[in-house]
Order: sequence, then structure tokens, then C-alpha cells
Amino acid sequence: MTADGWHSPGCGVIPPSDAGQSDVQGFGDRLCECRLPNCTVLDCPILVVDDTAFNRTLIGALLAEAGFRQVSFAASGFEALAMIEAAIPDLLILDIMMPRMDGFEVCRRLRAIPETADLPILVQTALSSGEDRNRAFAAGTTDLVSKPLERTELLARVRIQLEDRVLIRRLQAYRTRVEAELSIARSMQEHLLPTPAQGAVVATAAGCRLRAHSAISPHLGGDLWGLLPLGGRRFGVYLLNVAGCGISAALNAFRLHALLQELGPVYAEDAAALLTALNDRAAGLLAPGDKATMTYGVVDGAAGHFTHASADGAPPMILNGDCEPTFGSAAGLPIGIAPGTRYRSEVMDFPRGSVLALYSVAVLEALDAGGTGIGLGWMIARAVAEGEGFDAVVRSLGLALGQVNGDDHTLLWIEREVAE
Amino acid sequence: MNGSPVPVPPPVEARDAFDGLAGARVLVVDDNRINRHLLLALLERGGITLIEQAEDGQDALALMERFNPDLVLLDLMMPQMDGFEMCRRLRADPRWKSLPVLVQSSLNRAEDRARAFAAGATDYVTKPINAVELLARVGIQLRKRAMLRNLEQYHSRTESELELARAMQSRMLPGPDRLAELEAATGIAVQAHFAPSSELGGDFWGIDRLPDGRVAVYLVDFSGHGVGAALNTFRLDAICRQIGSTDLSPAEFLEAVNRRLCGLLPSGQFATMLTGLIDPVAGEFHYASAGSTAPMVWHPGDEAPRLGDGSGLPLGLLSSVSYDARRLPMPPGARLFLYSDAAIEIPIEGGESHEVLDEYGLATLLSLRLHEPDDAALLSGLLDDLTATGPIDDDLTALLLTRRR
Repeated sequence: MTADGWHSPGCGVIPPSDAGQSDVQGFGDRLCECRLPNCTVLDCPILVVDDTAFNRTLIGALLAEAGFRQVSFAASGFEALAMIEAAIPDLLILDIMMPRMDGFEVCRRLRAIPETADLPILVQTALSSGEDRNRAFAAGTTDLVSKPLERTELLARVRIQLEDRVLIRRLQAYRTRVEAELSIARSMQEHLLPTPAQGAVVATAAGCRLRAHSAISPHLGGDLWGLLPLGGRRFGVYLLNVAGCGISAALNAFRLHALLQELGPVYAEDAAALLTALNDRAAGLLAPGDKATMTYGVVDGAAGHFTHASADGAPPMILNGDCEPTFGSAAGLPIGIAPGTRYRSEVMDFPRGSVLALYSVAVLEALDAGGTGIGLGWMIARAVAEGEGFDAVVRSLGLALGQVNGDDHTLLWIEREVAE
Repeated sequence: MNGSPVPVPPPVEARDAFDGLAGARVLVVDDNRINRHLLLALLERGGITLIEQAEDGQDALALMERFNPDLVLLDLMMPQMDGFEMCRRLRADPRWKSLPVLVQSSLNRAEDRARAFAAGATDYVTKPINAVELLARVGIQLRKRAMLRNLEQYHSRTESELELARAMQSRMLPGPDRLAELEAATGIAVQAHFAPSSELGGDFWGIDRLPDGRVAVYLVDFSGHGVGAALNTFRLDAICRQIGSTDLSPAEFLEAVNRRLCGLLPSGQFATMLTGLIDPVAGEFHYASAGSTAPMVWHPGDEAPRLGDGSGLPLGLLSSVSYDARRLPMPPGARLFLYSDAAIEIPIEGGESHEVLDEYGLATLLSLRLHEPDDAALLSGLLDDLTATGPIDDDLTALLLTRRR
């Protein structure tokens, strides 16, 4: 159903002045962005500018004979500019030698206006005048046809220019539409994640500080994290990554998110039980071969424990002062591989003042790919030692990941307060 | 580590788009060594460094695959294979169909130029070479090609991604095997049409046989269309399966779905949904609707379909809403037609402004085909009627259910 603020694809994204003359019919077997029937280059508007009536008639006749249906004429540079201001054609056929405003000047003026900066301009000049030709190109002409006009050459130039223009416009319209669709989808994906305020409420109740960094690729992806509030200075936290990338990974992430909304209230207390239930339900939803890695754990701010289970997720890391980081060792198959898989929980010590880091595998891979030998543990340890903490880690992650790939990545940083 | 921002180089795609010349590869084909060197020097002066040379058409064709040029500068008069022939051969190969071929020749009669263009040349300059003009033309062609390639890469990458997602979406709908099984078990035949307005859609439907012999059917239409609406259909599918349909009445089912969607949908997004149970023993269709379209039922011998009531608050807006239980008679031989609102929001061409084919218009079209015994023919005939009415610019789903016994 259509609703306000939702753009319809296809012709809607093409500027109104161009709608209806915007496509080559049956270009290959690719998707046609324009839905109007019988759109061809022959429907593209062409403006012929020549001060000589005879030339206008001649060019008009040649174009009409070739089947071009939308040819208009201007007898001077001023008239041409006025007509273009009213409606931008797809091609300009321009004479150079005209009184008052010559073709060079028309060219220069059009190139100075953003809307016509890329308008194809076909200039008619005499073959012999090298000087004119150079000036024409310097003024921004796209192409030259030689005078006296020759039918085959003129039509070949016109067709090439229009076909390119139509093809570029079609591809641009496609890109505009898909980017708009993806940007809506991306904001929906962001909407799945807890807001900083929500995170603060849940974490503070357990005597912790939560910081989250998640980068969602503009092409969408399968990263997801969330919080499950529990009573008694505790909360559940999960980090999930659907294998693959792009739209299909996001579709599966949305499925799993919907399942987690159902299962969370029932199984949030028991990390292993939540993964086991999710895995059983996911088997009926995911296609064979689709899978997700996930870590879920309960932070207990009273007992100082982190009890988690893992479906092939990156091991949770706990950093306590200058000591070597402790990594979780719970292991299990990814979600979606084998229904009936039983996951096991593992308890980790989470002392006051320490930091629990959860992160997507992409983070580790990117750091490895850099070939620096710099592990996340080292990076976090150093950041903590220098007192910069989370921000410093995110900054260095940005550097490491930004140049490797634009993939999704997530880092959750949970700091247990030193004192009550 | 200090906090000063580190300059990040623009992504490769953007670089290519703005400067088509930097990495451009140009093949110079000329039998005259001096000419080749002249062209080479000229191109280098214009900032093009990846240049390969060939002495004639044959030589050049042999180089094409390995060098993979972005532009060919082609002489016409050459031994072995001339430029006309080389051009024709390039155009016959799909890989080089759109490659810019810039002819540079001392032939300057109109007939020669016409012949070159007929052979597929993109552009033509005459010798003696005018340096400014040649560089200008090479630059225009290369930049255009870089831009096209950039757009084409985006197109092909997203196209295959969307194709993958589209396949996932169609796997979510009941396939022919399940429908055949359903018909064998219940005598209810289903004919379905599902057409998203772009690659992915916000429409979604499902049908299931319950253990007690009743058949549950639902049809959903999310606000918007495209990828975002499709994401919603995937989570709704997960929700519907999680709720299960066994013990709930259609109205209770809608209420359960609505409560969940209210917690999930960003504000501004919503869905309409019709869900119902065909009870073969009672000969009735029990249903509830959240702002969906009016279901239509007709019995053998009827002259027009009976319209049900589709009113109700759409899903995702208010979590406490309750839905009415409604029913339509559905004895053996009866047919039920469900559809998304695209079918009744078709602008009527030639009619008053803003006039659309409403439910009554659709019922009128349908009544002309009520007695078509073949389900597929009935549905495709009706869709033809709709297409003939006006442009359909939204996701369209149409379901025809026939009680065969």
C-alpha cells in the first residue's frame, strides 16, 4: 500500500519535465525503470538552434524522417536559453555563427547552470576551422558535426548522444530509487537497536555503564544487538550476526529479532535455554544454509558474574585493570544449523571496575586483515590503560575497519561501576 | 593515540566517477609508427598513462582481451585488417558493444565519415590531428564511460542482491506443492497472484490447514513498498508462525499480531490484514479485518459477488484495539476472493480527477467472470481487466479460493 512520504519507484524519480521521454524501449533484458509504454530515444526532446531558417528546416526534416517526434526550434541564442529554462531538452543541436549571441556563448552559459551542466550539446562547425573547433570544446561542447551537414553523420551523432543520455538517466533513476529504499530499510534496522537512553536505564539498574557502537552498512547487513531487562540488578544482553551481507542478511536479522521478542520474556533468565529455543524456532524460518552467530549472557551486577552461552559468537572478553583479558570459552553451533542443538552456559567473573566487551566477528577479522598483529584485546587494554576507554577503541576500530571494508560491525562495552 | 581526524581517501567508486582519466586504458591502433608515437605523446600530455599500441586491426583484436581498453583510437586505412572491419568486429562482440571507438583518419569525405559511423565508430577526428580537439573528445568519452561503469556496477550489484532477497520473499509464500496438498486434503483450490511493484514488496499471504479440518488464510499489506516493507513482511511471518493459528479465533489472532507489531513498527508504519477460517462443516468463512479490503464471496448461480466488511483499525497503531468477528456463507462450490488495496486504488483513466476503481468497481469487473469454471483463467482475466483500467503502482496480491466440495 502506498503511504505519505513513500516514493513510488520508476518514473516518479525522474524530473517531471523529462517524464515520458525517458527510456529506450527494450534495452537488453534489464529492468526498465520507466513504466510508460513505447518510450524510445525517438521521444527525447531535441532543440535545434540556428539563425538560418533553411538550416532549421533541413535539420528538422532529417530528424523527422528518422522518426524523432519531439523537435523544437530556436532562431537565436537568447530564444534557445529561454526555451531551455522552461524545459530542458535531452539534446541541443547548436549553430556557432549566430548574430548577437553566438554558439560559444550559449555553450558557456549552459555549462554554468547546474541543471544543464551535463546536457549533450552537438555543435555544427565547418570541418576546416580548427580554431572554432577548439573554442567549441573549450566552451563545453559535447560533440561536433561538420558543416555542410551530412545526413548519416548527423543522425549517428544524435542517436549516440541520446542513447547514452537515456541509459545514464535510467541507471541513475534506478540508483536513486534503490538508495531511497535502502535508506528507509537502514533506518528501520537502526530502530531495532536499543537507544542510548534505553541502554542507560537497563545498565544503571545493574550498577553498570553501557556503551554501544554499531555501524550498519548502507547496503544493510545482519548485525543486531539488544537488551532484555531482568529483575534484581541483572540484565540480559545479546549480540547477533547473520551470515552473509546486504539485504538478505537484514531480512533474516528481522526474522530473528521478531523471534527474540517472543522468546526473550520466557527464557531471558537462562542463557543456554534462550539460544536453544531460538535455534529450534529458527530452523523453521531460515532457509537451508542460512545461519547466524550469537552470544547471549546475563550480567549480574550484584553477584559480579556474566553468565553466557554462545552460538559460535566471538568470545566475550573481560578486562580487569592491568591483568591479561579473560575470554569466554562457551562454544556451540551457529543458529540455524541443526535444530535440537543444546547450548551450555558458562559463568565468568565480572569484578567491579572491569570491562566486559562483546563484539562482532567482523571486528576481529578486520583487525587481523590489517596484518598488524594488533588484537582487539591489546587495543582495549591499551585504551583502558591510557584512560580513554570506549571512545579510543571505537576510533581505532573506525580506522581499522573503514579502510578494510564497509561491513557491519558492533562493539558493546559494559563497565561495572567501581562502587555502588 | 591522539584524537585528530585522519583524512580518509574517497572510495574507489567516487574517484572513478570524478576523474575518468586517471586509470583509463587506451589502445592506439595505427600502422604508422610516427603517428602512434605522436598520439602516445599527446595522450600522455593529457594525463593518460596506460596506453597500448597495435599496428593494424588484427593485431589490435588480439590485444583486446588482455589489455581490456576503455577507449580505442582507431586509424581507418591499415594493411591486414582496416579500421572499418575492426570496428564491425568489435561491435559484433557483446563485450565491446559499448566501448568508445574514436576514429582518427585522414579520410575526410562525408562518405568516409558516414561509413565509419555505420561500422560502429563512436566518434571521428580527422588528421592532421588537432591536439585540443582530440584530448577533449577522448576526455568526454572516458568520463562518460567511467560514469556509466560506476552506475552499471551499482546496478548489477544491487540487482543481484535484490534478486536474492526476492527469492527469499517468494519462498515465504505457499508454493504450488503445498497448495496442491491443501486442495487434495480439503477440496479448497487456491489460485494466487503476487506482484510487488518493485523487486520486493510489502504484501504477504499465507494459508494453513488446521488439525480440525478448517483452513486458515491471511493476507497482509504493509505501508510502503520496496526493501523496508519487505523487512516487515519477514518479521510478520516470524510472528505468525510463533503465535500459531490453532486455538485463536480470527479476531483474537489479529489482536495478538497487533500487540506485537505495535512494539516493533517505527511510527508511521502500519499494516492492513485480513485473516479468516474456512469452516467446511458449517459452510462459512469466519474472518476479522484490520483495515483490509472487503472480501468477496459468490455461490454457484450468483449474478454478483457479496461484499464482506473489511473495516477495522490497521495493525501497529494502537495495541489495545479489538477486532470484530465477521462471517460470510461459504457452501460447497462457493468462491472467495481476497486482494490487496492496489486492486481498488487504480486511477480510472478518462474519469473525473482522482477517481479510482473502488470495491464496487472491482465487484462489477468480477461479476462478468463469476461463472468462469477455470480458476487460473478467471484470475488472469480479472488481472487483465485491472491492467486495462489504469496503471497499478503498488504491490498487488490477489487470491481466489474455490470450495471444490
